[in-house]
Amino acid sequence: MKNMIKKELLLMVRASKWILLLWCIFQVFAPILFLKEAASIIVDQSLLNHLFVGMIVFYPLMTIPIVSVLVFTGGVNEERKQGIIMVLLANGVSQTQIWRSKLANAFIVAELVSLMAEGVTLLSLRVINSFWLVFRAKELFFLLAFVPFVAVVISGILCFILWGFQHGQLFATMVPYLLFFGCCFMSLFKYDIINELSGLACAVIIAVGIILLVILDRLIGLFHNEYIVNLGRM
Amino acid sequence: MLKAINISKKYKNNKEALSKVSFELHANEIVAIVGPNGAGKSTLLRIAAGINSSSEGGVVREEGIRLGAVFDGNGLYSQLTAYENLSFFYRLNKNNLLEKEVEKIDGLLMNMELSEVKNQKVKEFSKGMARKLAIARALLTNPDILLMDEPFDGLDIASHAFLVSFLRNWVKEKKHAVIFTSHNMSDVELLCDRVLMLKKGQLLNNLSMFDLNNKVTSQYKITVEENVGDWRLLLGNQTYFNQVGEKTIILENGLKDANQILEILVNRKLTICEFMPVYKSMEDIYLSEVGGAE
Repeated sequence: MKNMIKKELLLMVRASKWILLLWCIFQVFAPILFLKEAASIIVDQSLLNHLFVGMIVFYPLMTIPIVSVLVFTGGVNEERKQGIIMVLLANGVSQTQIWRSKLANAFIVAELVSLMAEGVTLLSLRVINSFWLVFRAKELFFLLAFVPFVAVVISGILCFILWGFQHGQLFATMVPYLLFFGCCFMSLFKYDIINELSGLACAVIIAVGIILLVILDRLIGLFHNEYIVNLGRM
Repeated sequence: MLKAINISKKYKNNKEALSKVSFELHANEIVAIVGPNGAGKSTLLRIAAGINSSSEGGVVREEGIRLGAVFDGNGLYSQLTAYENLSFFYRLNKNNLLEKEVEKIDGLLMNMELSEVKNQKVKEFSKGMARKLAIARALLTNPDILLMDEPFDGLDIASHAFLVSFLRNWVKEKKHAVIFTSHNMSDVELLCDRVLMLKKGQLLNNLSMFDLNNKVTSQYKITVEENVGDWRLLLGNQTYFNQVGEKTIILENGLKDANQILEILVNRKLTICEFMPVYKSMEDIYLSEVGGAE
């Protein structure tokens, strides 16, 4: 498994380093512009901090699933085209192992891109607006653990669809956008999700997420090898 | 080494890809699966490799027999170097391998004449080099049987000649065997001991090259030392033959007339230099057995 993830990361770096760099730049570009404008309009520093922290914390909810889906799709399509999945299966690697390694790779890359983008955003706020964001413990927990975990679960579901269903790509690409713009982004301004979500609710969400990931992991094993091998050719 | 017993494969749309196909693969044997597109060649190979499942029947391997497979597309990571590709697959199988990674990989690359390009990315490889590397990867696990889907497809003359000689030597070396699919009958003729002919999922023939030739051979050539002149005067109009010069005839009815003609020649005290079947080319055999385009 370690070998598989290492290979995935190496391939990712070799094949897509410039795209990932561009993605980072693009990701930083949007929030900086927004925050710069917001900082000049909102004078109240505490409100500004609250708004910015909320944005930064929930930002990975969009970026991680989007980047994961792209990374996962790229990897799977390439391997199907080159007949690598068939060779891996013939070498005793299970579909579950392939899926896990690709999901892990997709998440690692997406999380790194997301963290880099956030880091640069924070630095640019400091440089441009002379403004340091202050994070409370719960906000840090959301930023570094809870939100990325929820993003992994969402990515897992999307990558499962991409792995096993022929026309999953459209659906899987659409969901992160809808999710972010339709739900989270709006709720962020209406409700104070970070404060309103209790520890117990977080624990329940994490437990449900883990159960979901385990179910998906087991479901992958139910696909016939030949169905998966031929999926790209159907 | 490997026995396929009554393999049938039906798809969900009830299309039958294979119908009760049985064959055996023995040690030191190279077997080709030939047939038109859609005959079920690749499906049969994938079932033998354990990737596809059969609807009926199955494949039995002798204990301890290992398989290596090369499918279409080569199954290589284009962004990795030749060494990195092999290293990745070595590590997947390292529990079953005794040799050290560097030794094993360097040895394989040397055998495949790829040592000089071991640190080159596969995307920069020619088709022939990529195919050699794919075979090296298949050989990493020390397989006894190599399964290959169209291994010579699109190769240049040098790579083709290298692979043919490599596979021959590999099969001879130990108790190895190769089974491959092909559309190119000259490859089959050059390399194979036995041919499986498939058409619409049915196994038409499972014969050694010798038996296959004999089965479809209906012509025999007789050459004598003396000038006979007009053979019709000697043999009469009852026998079907074509005269090729004054010393040679080709019998069209196989062995049917041969005894009678040989008797006449012996009685006339003519010296028979040659009496042999006229083998058809593999392409002609294929066309006569499988037929032309569907």
